[in-house]
Amino acid sequence: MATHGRDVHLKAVSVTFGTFTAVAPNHLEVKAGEFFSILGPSGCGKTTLLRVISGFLSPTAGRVLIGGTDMTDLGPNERPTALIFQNLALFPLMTVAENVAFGLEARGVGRKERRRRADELLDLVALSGMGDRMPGQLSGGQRQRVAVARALAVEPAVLLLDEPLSALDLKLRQHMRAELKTIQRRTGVTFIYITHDQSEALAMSDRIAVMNAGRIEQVDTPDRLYALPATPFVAGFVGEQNSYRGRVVETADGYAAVDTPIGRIRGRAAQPVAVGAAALAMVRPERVGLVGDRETANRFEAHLTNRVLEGPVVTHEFAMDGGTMVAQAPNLGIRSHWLASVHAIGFDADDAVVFPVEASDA
Amino acid sequence: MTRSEGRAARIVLDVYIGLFLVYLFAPLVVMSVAAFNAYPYPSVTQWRGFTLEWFPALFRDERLMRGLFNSIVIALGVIALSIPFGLAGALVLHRLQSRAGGLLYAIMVSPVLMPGLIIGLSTLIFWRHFSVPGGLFLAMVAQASFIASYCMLMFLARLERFDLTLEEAALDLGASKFMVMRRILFPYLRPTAITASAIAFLQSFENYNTTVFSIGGDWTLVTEVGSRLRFGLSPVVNVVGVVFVVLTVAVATLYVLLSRRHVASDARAS
Amino acid sequence: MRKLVDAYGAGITTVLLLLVAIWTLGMVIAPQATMLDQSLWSLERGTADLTVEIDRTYNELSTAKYDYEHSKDAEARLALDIRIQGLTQKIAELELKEKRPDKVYGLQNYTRMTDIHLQIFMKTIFYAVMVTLLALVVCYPVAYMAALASSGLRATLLLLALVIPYALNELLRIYAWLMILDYQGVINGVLEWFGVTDLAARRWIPFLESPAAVFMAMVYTYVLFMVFPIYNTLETLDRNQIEAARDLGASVPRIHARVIIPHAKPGIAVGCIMTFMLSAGSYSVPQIMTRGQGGDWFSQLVYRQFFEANNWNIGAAYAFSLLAACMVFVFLVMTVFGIRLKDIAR
Repeated sequence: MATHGRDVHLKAVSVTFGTFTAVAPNHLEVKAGEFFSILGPSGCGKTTLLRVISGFLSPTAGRVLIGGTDMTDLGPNERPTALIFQNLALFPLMTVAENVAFGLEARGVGRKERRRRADELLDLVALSGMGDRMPGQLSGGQRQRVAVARALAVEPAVLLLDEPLSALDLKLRQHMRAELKTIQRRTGVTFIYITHDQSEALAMSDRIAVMNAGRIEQVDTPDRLYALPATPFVAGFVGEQNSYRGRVVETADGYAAVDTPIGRIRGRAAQPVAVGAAALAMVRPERVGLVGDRETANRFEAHLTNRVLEGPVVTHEFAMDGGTMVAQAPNLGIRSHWLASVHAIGFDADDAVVFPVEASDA
Repeated sequence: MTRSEGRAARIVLDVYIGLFLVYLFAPLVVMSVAAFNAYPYPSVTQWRGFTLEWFPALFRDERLMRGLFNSIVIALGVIALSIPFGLAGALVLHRLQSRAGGLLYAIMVSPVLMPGLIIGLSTLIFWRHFSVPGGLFLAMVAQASFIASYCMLMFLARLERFDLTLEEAALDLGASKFMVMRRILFPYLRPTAITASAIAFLQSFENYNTTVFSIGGDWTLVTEVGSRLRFGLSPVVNVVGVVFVVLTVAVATLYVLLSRRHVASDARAS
Repeated sequence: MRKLVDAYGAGITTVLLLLVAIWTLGMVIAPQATMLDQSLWSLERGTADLTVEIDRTYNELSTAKYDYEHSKDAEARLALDIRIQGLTQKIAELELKEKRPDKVYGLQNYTRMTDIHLQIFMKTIFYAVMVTLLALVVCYPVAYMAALASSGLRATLLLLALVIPYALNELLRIYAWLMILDYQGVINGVLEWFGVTDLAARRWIPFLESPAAVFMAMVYTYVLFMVFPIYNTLETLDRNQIEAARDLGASVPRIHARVIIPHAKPGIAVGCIMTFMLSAGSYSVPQIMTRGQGGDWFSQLVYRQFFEANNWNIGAAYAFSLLAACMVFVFLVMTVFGIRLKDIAR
């Protein structure tokens, strides 16, 4: 494929509907050729943002630059973007090949050339020889691939995907993730992928933007996003968390100690916090473990109240004075010592993260 | 409710439906039988033997044949008018959800709720201002004004099930609005256009109440039958009835068969 | 308007709006408006005052002519000559005014409806209501049967049975009833076998002279317009609701009153509206069933005003009254049943 991705630059883009702010002023820079995800709960404004980039919606304020060119005022059919819809929006009355070649037809490409290009693209998405079928005759995964081929046919610089995998079952979804990633690498097109499924975003993306209530809270690589969430929302939305509200009692070198109902928690301060301020301490279940006699920054005596086997991992629920804590550990076979009633559990200071919160929230 | 009470209710209902079916079909039978009676007036009580003579008589009847021709001309004209009007109305309403849309909807639906003779008369009065007298043209215009409403409703019902993302997908792929209409919307509406044309044709062909008030000195098959029913009865009228039934049932059967094939291919396509 | 242009582009939007305008303005609104206009004026001949003035002017003229013939004075004769010419011209003008009637606007076409015509109007509305109620009673069990009380094939056959008679043109459907109810019709014929009637001796039962004959044919003619709206709403009723009600011990009438009829309300409303409108405005049924002997139905009156009496103004007023009655009925039913215009068109 000769196409190369272009960068997308949103400058202070905001969208309001009447008094409702769907998207607060946001800056966003997506690099050329990147697999970029926008992750957030439903209603956070991510689809609105996607419609702004694709040109179906004019932003209330701000500019949209694609490949360095201001395209805020161009319609969807004038932008070098292609959108893959959540429901795919395959044209039911056209054959697969006609679907794929539709964008070329719109550009006045001749019938023969259209068919040749369509077949080429169908090869790319592993649908060789399916050109004369109707979309209704294909399976879910095949329809997915037709949608990708149709979007790629117009050689877009940026491909926008609006939760296209949500209708597929789990197995197929995992398979399609890998396939999308492969296609993206092979074509070099910039992918902007919208999803509410964090595992999807973590698995495929080069970088992820996490959105909440119309605002982009953090943009980072999947690893850093998971390990170093910048806000409580990001920490809570990406992966699981044990979280405890409390008050900061001590700070030092980027670390803070928080007094919470279950006791004192020492953790890394994601943002500067002041002693006496309300704070939120969070620790991921997989970081919590049996500590035995080992010295750790955080240590609690707790009762095991429930044990849930999830296959490769086991989730343990503990109760202690003032609260509960969930720990997740790899399934190492039957180890009866977990079944004892009282345990010493804990985690290192680097495994916990402390956020300042508004006093009213605390 | 006890079991026996349910069974009794069921029997009452079955008997009622039986009587209702007799009510529905008795006139049909009487009408058809009289078409084969040799008696020169339509009758089943005065049986003078079986005959087919009224069938060729129908085709020799110049006024009826001319009426048939007029009916077909008007019906084709009605299709040519009401399909574009109905389609345009539905497309406009589909995008106007505001109060203006509500008012426009009321105006477009109102002809369906008006007695046919009102439509015929108002058309006649209106066109007199342009010195156009009652005739085939006015009958066609009067019929189209309310048949377009039926077409509009059919198109609108289909449009309401239209997946708007298809249109957006096409635009996103670079299609012009005209191309969206030609390649996406019209193919989607084609089955409705065919059904609506068939219904428009039948409605026009069968229409009496509107036509008789706007046709002036001219006539259609149905208005001619109407005046024969008052003056100069002959079993030829019954023959017309039999031909009507046979043709309609044949066309309906054909339509059902075709649409079933269409549904099957649609089901495969979606 | 913005939305339309956004959706279809300026070119197509213009074409669409043009078509919609031709249809709604040119074929619906303007004809109704001209009909209303036509109903609101009439041509009035000269008033009594005018006649009196013409007579007086004639008197003045003859006096002036007498004076002219008996006057010797040249100057006076000249003056009288001018006066005579003036009076002659005035008479010509007044007489022209008397001959060419004025177009007078007002409600006279409505208020001058004769008692007998008003009676027919009221009777027509009453009959149309009766036909509607009768059709409702006749059709409800049928719609219920087709939608809820029978399984696949039987329901399909019943629906087919409903549609087949409609293959026959409206006029012929009515005419078939004429053949059945006529003096020498099927029923009288059958009764003759039992010795109840004697056709040769002109002893027959005059079914056609009763309004019931028109009712019967009219219900028959418009049955589908009642059955199908009700059927369509009943079809959406979850049969489990009926099962549940039955399970809870409800009687058959109670199930209908509390579960089925409330669900069918919009369909019943639409059926009533269509049936009333069709029967109130029906020209074909009374025309054929009464054989034009009695001007029994208002639609026939309208027809005669237009095409026999050639009085379009009164005809338009009558037609408009009929339209108004239908609109009032539609509005009433919609209010009573609490449905919107949008529900009617299903």
